[in-house]
Amino acid sequence: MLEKNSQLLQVIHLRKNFGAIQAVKDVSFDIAPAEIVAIVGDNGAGKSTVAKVISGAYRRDGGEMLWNGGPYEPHEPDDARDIGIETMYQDLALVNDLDAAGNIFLNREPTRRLFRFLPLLDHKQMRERSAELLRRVKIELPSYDRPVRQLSGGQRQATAIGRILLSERARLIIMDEPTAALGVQEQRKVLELIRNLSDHGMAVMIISHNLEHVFTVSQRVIVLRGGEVAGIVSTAEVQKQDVVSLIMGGGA
Amino acid sequence: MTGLNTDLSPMRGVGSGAMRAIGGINPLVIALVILYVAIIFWSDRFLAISNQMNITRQVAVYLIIAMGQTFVISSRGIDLSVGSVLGFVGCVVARMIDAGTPVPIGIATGIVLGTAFGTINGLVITKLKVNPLIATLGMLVALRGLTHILMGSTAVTRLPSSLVFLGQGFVGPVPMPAIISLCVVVICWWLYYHTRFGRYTVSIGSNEDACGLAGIHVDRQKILIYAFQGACVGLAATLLVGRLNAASPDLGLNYELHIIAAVVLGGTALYGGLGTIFGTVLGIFTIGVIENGMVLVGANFHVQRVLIGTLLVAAVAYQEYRRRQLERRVV
Repeated sequence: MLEKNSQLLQVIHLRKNFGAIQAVKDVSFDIAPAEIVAIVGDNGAGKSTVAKVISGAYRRDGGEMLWNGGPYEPHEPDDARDIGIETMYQDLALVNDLDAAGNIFLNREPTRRLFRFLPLLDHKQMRERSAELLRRVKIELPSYDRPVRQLSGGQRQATAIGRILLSERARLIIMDEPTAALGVQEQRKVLELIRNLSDHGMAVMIISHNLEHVFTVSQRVIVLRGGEVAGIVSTAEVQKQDVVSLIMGGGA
Repeated sequence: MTGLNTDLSPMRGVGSGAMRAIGGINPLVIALVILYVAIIFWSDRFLAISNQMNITRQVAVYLIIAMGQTFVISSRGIDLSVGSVLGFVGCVVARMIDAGTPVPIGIATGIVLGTAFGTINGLVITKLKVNPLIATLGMLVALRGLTHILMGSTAVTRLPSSLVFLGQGFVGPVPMPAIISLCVVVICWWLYYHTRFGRYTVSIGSNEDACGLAGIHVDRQKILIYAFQGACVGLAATLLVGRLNAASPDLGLNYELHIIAAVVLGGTALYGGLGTIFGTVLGIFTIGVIENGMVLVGANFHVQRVLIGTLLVAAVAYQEYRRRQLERRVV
């Protein structure tokens, strides 16, 4: 069934209950390195639960997960982060009153010493390295020293991406509704960004309601329905209408 | 990809550092200039060097406490207990020195004691999850009571000249308390803008959850902030006792109102994430100039309270207006 070794992440017969409710009954899929995969499904299909089990926010009740072929058993989000799974939350978890560089380097601030004695935050280095990081994925922010409160939705998203890139360990990035709160222009740019991440060797797992975007950017679509996999399709081979049918459970 | 480049050029040139807090020049600068011109018009003694130096001496104790409070309020906290801690520490230090403890040890004890009360505030707020307003209100009430129990109806007077020098002495034309408070301001400016301590203080005030996700020890940082406020109060207490050359159980009564008013007047936001060291200095001086000027002009004491209260509300209204203006520019 599932190929060995070449896969980055393998999810096998995953199960998760909340009390009597089976949010995820039986979900199996895999993600290859640098692949862009979308998870779609109606509300309550189990998309977010699957994502949260992978990112270590929930503990699974059954099944198995493999990371690079080895067992993967996260107890908390830091376990996921340590091996290279990063999650971008819908609210982005930014400190609005700090600038973009400050957010990217939050809790990892470089310091320099004045007169070899007095430690000072190295604002210049933070700004330069932030710009450098984002340039790698072809993003240019208008300012690295302005509170992110004053940035647009797409620019804020870029800042959150910068945080992920700084860790340099990221192999899989989980994005929860990355385009939901954005204008049309910015949605397009975020999709470009997702492709750029993939070009740099990072796999991306998108949770989205927007099939238009899913078909634009992802190679495969995992359709969930009622906590089970209703189908896994390649976007090159099927039409949007087919995926809608899978989501609704009407034929195909 | 052309990049997520959106033109925000109208925002260019909005100041940086201390000024950025409310965007542009702190309106208190203008308020201070108006005050100076008005008071000079009424009193020819006001502008004399000796009187200006007198103002710096009068505000020194307030200024040191307000520096700590700027950190507390920036982190979306508040410390109402500063006046009571000031009173308690002042009385204990005065008693100790009166009983023969060397002055340097007395001062050190004051700072340690202040830090300890601040730490208690921080622990109650983070570990017992008591709202800062209530935690420090409890400390305000309880500690004032404890001070009266400790002192009875007595007061300590006539302290050693070395302590009095710290509170009343001069170096050239400059009062000692002014020099000490300036040192505290410089240290706080460094802490606030150039260290992780300052950065995490503001960040916690802005988005505590995001800080936790980034791995910052939020509780530990908060305890440190209240402990630092306590240390400031401890130092201020020894200066105040030296300046008054006395300590009575009512020492520092109602100080918290002045301090919080000055910090907010200066532009530090009560909802956290936004603070300014320079603004707090301006806030303290505005209040100091009003108090000093009104005495010279011969105005009724209560007029200054009307003035300070009105100014406080006006300043916050202006800051809110500026903030909304800035947020509208978000593209």
